[in-house]
Amino acid sequence: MNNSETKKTPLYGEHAKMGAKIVEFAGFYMPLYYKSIIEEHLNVRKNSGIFDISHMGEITIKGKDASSFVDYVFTADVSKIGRGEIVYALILNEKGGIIDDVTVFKFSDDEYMAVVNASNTQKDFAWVRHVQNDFQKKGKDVTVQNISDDIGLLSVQGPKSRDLIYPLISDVVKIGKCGLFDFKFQPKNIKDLKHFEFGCAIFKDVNVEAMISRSGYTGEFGFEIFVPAEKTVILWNYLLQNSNLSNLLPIGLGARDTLRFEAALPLYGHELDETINPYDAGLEKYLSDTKDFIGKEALKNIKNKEKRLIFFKLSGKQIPRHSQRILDENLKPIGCIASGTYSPSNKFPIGSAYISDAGVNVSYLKDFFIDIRGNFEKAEVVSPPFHKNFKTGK
Amino acid sequence: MDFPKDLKYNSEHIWVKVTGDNALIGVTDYAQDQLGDIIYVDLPEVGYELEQNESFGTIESAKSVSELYAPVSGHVISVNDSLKDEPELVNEEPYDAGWLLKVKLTNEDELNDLMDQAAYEEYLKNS
Repeated sequence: MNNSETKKTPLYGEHAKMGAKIVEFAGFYMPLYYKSIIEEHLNVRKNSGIFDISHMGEITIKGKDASSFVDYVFTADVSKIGRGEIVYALILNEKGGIIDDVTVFKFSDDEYMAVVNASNTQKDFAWVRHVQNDFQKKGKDVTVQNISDDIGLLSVQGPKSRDLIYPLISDVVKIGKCGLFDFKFQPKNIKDLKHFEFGCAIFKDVNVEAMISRSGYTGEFGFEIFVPAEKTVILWNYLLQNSNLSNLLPIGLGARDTLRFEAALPLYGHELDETINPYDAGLEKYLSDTKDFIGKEALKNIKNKEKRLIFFKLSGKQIPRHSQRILDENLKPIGCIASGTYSPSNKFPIGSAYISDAGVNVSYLKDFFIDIRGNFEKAEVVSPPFHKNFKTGK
Repeated sequence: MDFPKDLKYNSEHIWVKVTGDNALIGVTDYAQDQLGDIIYVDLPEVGYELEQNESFGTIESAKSVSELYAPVSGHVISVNDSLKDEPELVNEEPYDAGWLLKVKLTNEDELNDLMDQAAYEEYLKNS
């Protein structure tokens, strides 16, 4: 953030009380870990964990022309999904570079909400507002609004997360208000939600109404819970008071990163940025071929990938870090690290890298090196995800 | 947090325990707490000449890498090999099983540059 001081989510005081190690991330003071990144990570894989992700941004898109707007701004076929469904999509600039990766929620043909990366909320909002102004000049009816500060967002993830959520809620299946949101369709029961669907429920004991989606950023079964900002503390404490239902632990951003990386989910600023196009990042399946969107024209001229994203593991113990160099067997630089971390599930370091020659034969890369502060550490290409049994080679 | 009275400390959160002309070296409870889960410790080998205030290795946690700065000069006579497989010993027992190096002191006067327990605690309060 360049134009404001560091923000706090509604839960900052709770994190501090619990003794979390606080760091600045994307313009917010956020918990890096409460006790241990590794312990928190493994608990999400085995049991469940709760994350404060209220720093993420939410932008609503409303109006009679909202559907044509979302189809133009986002790369995926957004308007075609059903009400109560979510789609993953990219926002591209005119050159085809990635401005952000987002999820878009559909409430109706006239109303959508994009959930965006905290680090990009201001940039994304400026971008969609600019497109909104162009639409309005042409007489179209669409209005975008940044409602990030009004929403508290909790994520409950892990194979046992259902054992926490189901007993504590009663479904709200009526058309109408759901916390801050307005459902113009009859939502499903929470238990019946499939991945990337959302509904409405009330946490009975504390009388907090929330929009709940079946989604997450860990590779595990889980939920994301949208509540009015002023209810966030009540719900956070209530869920933690019931932690015995699912062996729930609070999880910081450290484990959020190791979990997402084991699941090979991209992180903006690492795998994605404006110098990378969707083909480089292997995200071409999120590009619609049935409609026009910003950046599509530029992508037509990108005949070949310019870079190639690979995943690897290391035999040593040192951890590769963002922007370190990748060297081939003759120690010639061939690319740069996108993400690197320790894999708590495998107990060895793992990483991703962009190889500057997209035509490179990956099997040829069987042995290559990473320049970790002058030590050339040997690495091996693998197929993610890393948290399930994965294959080496490719 | 625990800072034993019989140790000396430098401003880079390294402790020294002197026995005769030998010194045992490790990181403080404060340092391990700040680092979080330690997963790799890169240490010199036996025979290495440590120089006061120079970096002699790195310690890596899940989130960050930090340099280790020598509290004294000395000749490395022993390295804690257990840390290769169990780097978490530094988190669990920073003053015991989590020690890093044993050196033969080459300049005992340097010990006067270090803080005692009270001074180190005061230093932490002000940093």
